[in-house]
Amino acid sequence: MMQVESVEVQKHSFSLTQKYWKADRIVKCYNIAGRHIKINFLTQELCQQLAPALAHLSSPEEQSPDLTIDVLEGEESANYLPFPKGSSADYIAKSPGPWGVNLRSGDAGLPKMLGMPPPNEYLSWLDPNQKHAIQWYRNALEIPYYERGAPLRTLFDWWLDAQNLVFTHGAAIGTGNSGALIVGKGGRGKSTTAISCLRSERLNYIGDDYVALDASGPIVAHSVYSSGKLEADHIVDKLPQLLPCVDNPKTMVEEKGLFFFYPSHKEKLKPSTRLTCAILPVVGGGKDTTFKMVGAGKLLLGLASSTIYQSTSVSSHALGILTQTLAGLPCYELHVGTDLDKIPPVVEELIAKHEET
Amino acid sequence: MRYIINAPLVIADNLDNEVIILSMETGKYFSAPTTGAVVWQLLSGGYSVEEAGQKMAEHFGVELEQVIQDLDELKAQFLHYHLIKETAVEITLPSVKFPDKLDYVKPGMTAYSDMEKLLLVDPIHEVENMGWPNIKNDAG
Repeated sequence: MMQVESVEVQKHSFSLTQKYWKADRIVKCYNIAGRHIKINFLTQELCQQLAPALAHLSSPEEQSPDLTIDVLEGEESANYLPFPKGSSADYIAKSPGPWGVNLRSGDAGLPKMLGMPPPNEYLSWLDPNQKHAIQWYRNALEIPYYERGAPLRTLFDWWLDAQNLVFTHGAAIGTGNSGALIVGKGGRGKSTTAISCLRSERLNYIGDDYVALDASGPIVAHSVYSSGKLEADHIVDKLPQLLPCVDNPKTMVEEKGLFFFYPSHKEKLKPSTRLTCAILPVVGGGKDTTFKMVGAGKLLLGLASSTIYQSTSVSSHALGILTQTLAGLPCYELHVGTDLDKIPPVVEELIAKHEET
Repeated sequence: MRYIINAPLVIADNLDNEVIILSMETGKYFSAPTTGAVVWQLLSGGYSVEEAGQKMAEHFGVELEQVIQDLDELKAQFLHYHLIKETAVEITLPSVKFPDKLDYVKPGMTAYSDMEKLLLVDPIHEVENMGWPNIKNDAG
C-alpha cells in the first residue's frame, strides 16, 4: 500500500515541478557510460556552475534519454519539489545531518531522496522507473567548489547503481585500449598521479576523483567529470604549468585548486578505457617513482571504504562489483617520488605490461 | 550459540585471503587476513565457535583448546563492533573452503576509523517512504 501511494504522490509532484519551468531554461545533453542524459538547468547560473565538469561528454539531444535531470534553485522553486510537504527548503536548513528515503533499502525500483544540509544544501530525487531526477540547490552562486567539480554525484551514484555500474571513488588513466584504475584514500597521491599523467603524450585522462566502473564484461572505467583537484601548494611547487587552468585561483589556498580539463586538455580526455591493471599510490619519499606488485586485498580496503562510505546506493552490490574488478586485475603499489615528471613513464610502463592486443 | 552477519548494516567480501568488512552503522571498516578471514567465513556463516574450532583444529592440525580460545577472542571483537549478531533461526551451514598453503596463525582483525566522516547517511536516521521529514518510528 505504501509503495502505491508513494508512486501516485510522486507522479503528481513531477508534473508540479514541470509547471515551474521557465521558457528560457537551458538544455544540455551528455553521454555518460554509453547512456544518454538530458539535463534541464533552470537558470544560466546553474548551468555555468555545473556544466563545465560534464562538458567533455556533451552529445546531441536524444528524443528518449536514458535519464532526464531537472536542476533547480531558489526558495520559490522549492515549493514545486516532489515532496509531500512544502517545507523542503526550510527543513533542509534545520536538519542536523543528511536525510534520505529508500537510500539503503535494497529496492532499486523505489524513488530515492537525499537532503544535504549546509554548506552543500541540495536535495536529490531520483525515480528510476520514470528515468527522471531532480536536483535542487538553494542558491547556484553558493554551490561549493567541490560540488562544481563533481556535480550531481548523488544522482549519478544512484542511477549508475541501477545500471549495474558503480560510481567509484578512484581515478583512471588509459592508452588506446588499456588502462589503470588508480585507487586510494584522499591525500595519498591519487590525484597527483592522475593529473601528472596529463603531460604524457601516450596517456589519456578518464577521471580524477570519480569514475563509473562496469564489470559486466571486460572491466571498463567510464569518465564522468573532466575535473581534478590538487592542494594549492602542490600546484605552485610541482605543477606550475597547470596554474592557468585553475578555476578558483583566488580561493584555492583555503579550498583546493579545481581544474576543468575541458577544453584546455580536450585531446587528452577520453570517455572510457578498458582496465588492465590497478594502482595504489603511496608517498615514496625518494625522487624516483617505483612500483611493486601487491595483493588485491590491499587495494580493496581503500577502494571499498572510500567508495561505499560516500555512496548511498545498495552497498553490498557495489562492494561485489569492486571486489570483482580488483580480483580481475593485476594490482600494484606505486611509490610516488617527488619528481612528478617521473610518474607518467612508470604508469605507462605498468599499463604497457598488461596492454590488450 | 550461532551468529550471522549483521546485515544490512554490515557488508563484507573476501579477496585474496583477506576479508574486508564495512559497518554502515559506524563508518568503521575492518581487515581480517588469512586465518581471520577463515574465522569470519565460519562465524558469520552460522557456525558455532565449537563447530568452527573443530573444523580449524582438524584442518590446521592445531590443539582444539587453543583454537577455541583464539576464536572466542575474535568473536568478541566481531560482537563489540556489531559485525555479527546472534540468531536462533535454523541455518543451513555453508561449505567452507580453506585457502591453500595457509598455516595457522592467531586469527586477528584490524579496525580502521579514518572514513567515519564520509558516512553520508546514517541508516538509523532514514525516514519512512513518504513521511519525510518524519523519522522512522523505530529510529529512537
